[in-house]
Amino acid sequence: MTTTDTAVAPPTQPRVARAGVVGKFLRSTTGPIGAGVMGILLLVALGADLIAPYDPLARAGAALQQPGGEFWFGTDELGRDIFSRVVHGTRLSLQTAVGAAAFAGVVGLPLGVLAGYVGGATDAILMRITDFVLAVPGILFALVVVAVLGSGVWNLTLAIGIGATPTFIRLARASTLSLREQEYVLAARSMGASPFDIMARTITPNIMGPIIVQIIVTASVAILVAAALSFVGLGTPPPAPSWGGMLQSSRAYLFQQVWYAVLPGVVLAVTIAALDAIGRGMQVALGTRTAGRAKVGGMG
Amino acid sequence: MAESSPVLEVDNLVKHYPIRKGVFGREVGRVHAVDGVSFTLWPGRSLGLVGESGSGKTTAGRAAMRLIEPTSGDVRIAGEPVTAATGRRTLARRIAMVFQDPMGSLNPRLSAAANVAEPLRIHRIGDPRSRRQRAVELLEQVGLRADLAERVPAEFSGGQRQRIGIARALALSPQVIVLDEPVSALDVSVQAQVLNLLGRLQEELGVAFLFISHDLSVVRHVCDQVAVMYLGTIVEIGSREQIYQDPRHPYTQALLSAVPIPDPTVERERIILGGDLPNPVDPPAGCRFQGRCPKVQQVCIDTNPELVVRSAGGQAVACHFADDNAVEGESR
Amino acid sequence: MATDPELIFAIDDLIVEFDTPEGVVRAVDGSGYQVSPGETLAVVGETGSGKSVTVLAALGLLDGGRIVSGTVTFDGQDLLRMPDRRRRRLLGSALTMVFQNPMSALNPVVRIGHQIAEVLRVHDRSLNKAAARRRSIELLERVGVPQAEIRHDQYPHQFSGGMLQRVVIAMAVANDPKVIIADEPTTAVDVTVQAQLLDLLRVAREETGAAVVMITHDLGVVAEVADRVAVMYAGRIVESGPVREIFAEPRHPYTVGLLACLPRLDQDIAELTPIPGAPPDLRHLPDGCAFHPRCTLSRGREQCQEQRPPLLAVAENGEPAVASACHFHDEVAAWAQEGTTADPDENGGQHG
Repeated sequence: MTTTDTAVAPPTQPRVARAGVVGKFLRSTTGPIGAGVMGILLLVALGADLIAPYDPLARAGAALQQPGGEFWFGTDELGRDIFSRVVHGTRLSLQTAVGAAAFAGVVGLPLGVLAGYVGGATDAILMRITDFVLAVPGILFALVVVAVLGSGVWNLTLAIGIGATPTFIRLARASTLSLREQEYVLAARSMGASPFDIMARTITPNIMGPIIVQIIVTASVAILVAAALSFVGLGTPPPAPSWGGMLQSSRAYLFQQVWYAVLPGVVLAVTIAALDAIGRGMQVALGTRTAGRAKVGGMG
Repeated sequence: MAESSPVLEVDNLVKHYPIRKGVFGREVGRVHAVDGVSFTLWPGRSLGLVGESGSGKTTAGRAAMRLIEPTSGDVRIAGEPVTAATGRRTLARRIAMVFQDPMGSLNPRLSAAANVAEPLRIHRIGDPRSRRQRAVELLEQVGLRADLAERVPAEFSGGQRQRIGIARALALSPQVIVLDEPVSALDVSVQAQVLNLLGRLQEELGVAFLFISHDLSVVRHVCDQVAVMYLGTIVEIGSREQIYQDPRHPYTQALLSAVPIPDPTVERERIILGGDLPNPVDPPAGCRFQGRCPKVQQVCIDTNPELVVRSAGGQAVACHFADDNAVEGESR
Repeated sequence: MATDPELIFAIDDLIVEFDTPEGVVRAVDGSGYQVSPGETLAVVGETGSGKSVTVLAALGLLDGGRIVSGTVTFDGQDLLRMPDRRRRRLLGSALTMVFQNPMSALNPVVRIGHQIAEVLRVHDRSLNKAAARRRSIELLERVGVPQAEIRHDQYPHQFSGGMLQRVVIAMAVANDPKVIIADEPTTAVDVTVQAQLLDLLRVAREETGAAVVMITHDLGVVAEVADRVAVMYAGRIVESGPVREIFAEPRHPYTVGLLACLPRLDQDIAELTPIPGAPPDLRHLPDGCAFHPRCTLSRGREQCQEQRPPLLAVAENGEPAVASACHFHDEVAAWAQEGTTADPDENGGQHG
């Protein structure tokens, strides 16, 4: 300790910054609720085999039974337990959601950072490609991909993932462009950091906030699109217990067995609402959406 | 340290930005951000680059350390020529930078120690443990206690952040540090702490400073040599005594007279210049200061005065009438 | 004292609070000052001192904060308790402001001349178009805008920062104001332009006879333009008095520190004497005197830690008197003499 000058003062700000995002998320109105619901759904998906009382694909009793002690939400037209099918459907839905969001994030984030940081021809080419994909409505795009690759859970996931990627590229690019002007990026260059190092270590961690919000949004879109495609018969092929597929086949029996339609519908709605709640909570925590006013600004 | 050889030589540095318009990007003009700037920096000394906004001082500093690629000009560090091929990695070990905005120039996601260790990591010096230890030592060297090392920049005050920025600049033991307005974002009571720290570090480490600032009082306190920039060129360069006590360029004289002195009993004759700093796009053919100069003559409009050494002490002035400009009495 | 006819503008005991996620922050804590016609008062302080908040609150321009108590008197009228409409009519005519950023006072899509004419019409509704134009051009010429005829019809973006500030000053003096409040008017401009603007403000004051309140962080500007000075720290005035007396013999350790830590254009200083620590965090103000953690005169004296010193007149010879908010103001002179360099307390900046 050779310090001779005096100002070894402790920080003037209280220690809120580090635990800040998580703390603010937990203190937001919607965040903890959404996270709690999603947590339960995740457990259901992981433990589907333990939770579901029956095999989702096999006949368990008489067709179209009303809810009761044996079948909590009744059975479908083939005598399969509706509750067990919805439980396993959760696994399918979350698989698609996680898979599609992860694909779009893993592919889109680095491409967007690259386009934003390197600029020039790389940027121009990537932007034209994203323009093209974005010009086609997502569901139509997924339809085409599924038509080409054939139906199936993973093809569906891939189709939705590809459709969601341009948004990530755009977002990552825009965030990178604004960050490029930050002095700490210039500082990293002044230290001799390579472009790859700057993109990976300086820029990427600092744009993760909006990217995470986008991942949540993508997950919820993926669930909706998967359900819609299954509803029109282009998603997960039967007999897989997809929510969309169940909603489709339940239509014929709405008056005999209302729970056949209600249970998958409600669970789908709750999942989307929970993801939305998390997204809002994240935005509050990251400061992109303000919960209230009152910031001590412009004092002095 | 051999006082005899300069640590940084900048020769005729030029940075022009083309202005393009239209579909085909036709060049319609050029911003002469830096237009032939030369200076020499000696080990353990400080050169101040002063000027108002648009004078090109920041661009000159960045081009000198090749943070932006100059249009033309030679840079030598410790006698070795620096070219586009030298690469930033090699350069970064010899010349570091401290920025104006202490918050904006630190990575907000990294702790103080990690920010300071960044240059070491980038240059693959040591392992994470030893890098951290070195970072903590550097933080202590700039007056920050080791127990603050794990905090992120947002948890520090402005002055403390600038200390972190200085510690980071020291990490690779550079021979030169370019300081771009290092104290102008700080409150005056804190500014003095950082200035004293810089003085102490220079004494201990023998590092040379290229000190870029608009604040003439701060430059007088920090620098041995001062270069006054106007519209992309150096109009006057000399020792601190020469510039502050015997300025010969009308711009330097006006600039010095315009600085308010915190002493109500000081009576001064003030030279109030008309107009603003002109646009650095395609500047006039003659002297760049002609539009605002109180002593302008026909020759100033026709020919651009060269920066010529005017006195035995090496003071150089870019004015046709530099010899007539000796201040009426060297009273200050 | 607010009823004194000599005082055109007076703020008394103002308290302003903000609600923040971390609780209530008191940005202004019993601050106040007065100005007489023709006089320039400089209010000087660092970040968070509350110098801007005080005046914004006094004029009802505060965004988000809340005035807890205090009175503001302008020309014998209570500004805080008058109807908004009346206050708005005063602002911009008899009581005008010049901000740091001139764009905040101008509409970017309206021609400069038009905006000046608007201001003129507030005072004189019968002003016709030709007369308004003539007077606007006159005003532009008065504040030194070259080619006023052409400039009159241009938009703000066609002006440089310094020129815009001239336009704002033109608008501020257009209706013969009684008080001009300038909030860091030269902080965003270069030093040669600053010299022009300060000169312009001085001329404006002389011509209109208005009182000027100059809010600044720059002691050089204070010495240059002010008759009296009020030094603010942590939402309070800690010292006030005539400029020459305050600079010659400050009676508050903070003022001493501020003057000692400045590098000087006109002097060589071997080593600067900084004030230890950092400007205070308003969310965690210390008890007693807000300056005591950074004060080398206090050196941990109990009185400084427990009692908040009131702002009291300390020198009777001066007129108006010097006032200091320091328990030990009579020790300040001797302490400043012996040098404040005596190394301060290790924990110099401890406050939160």
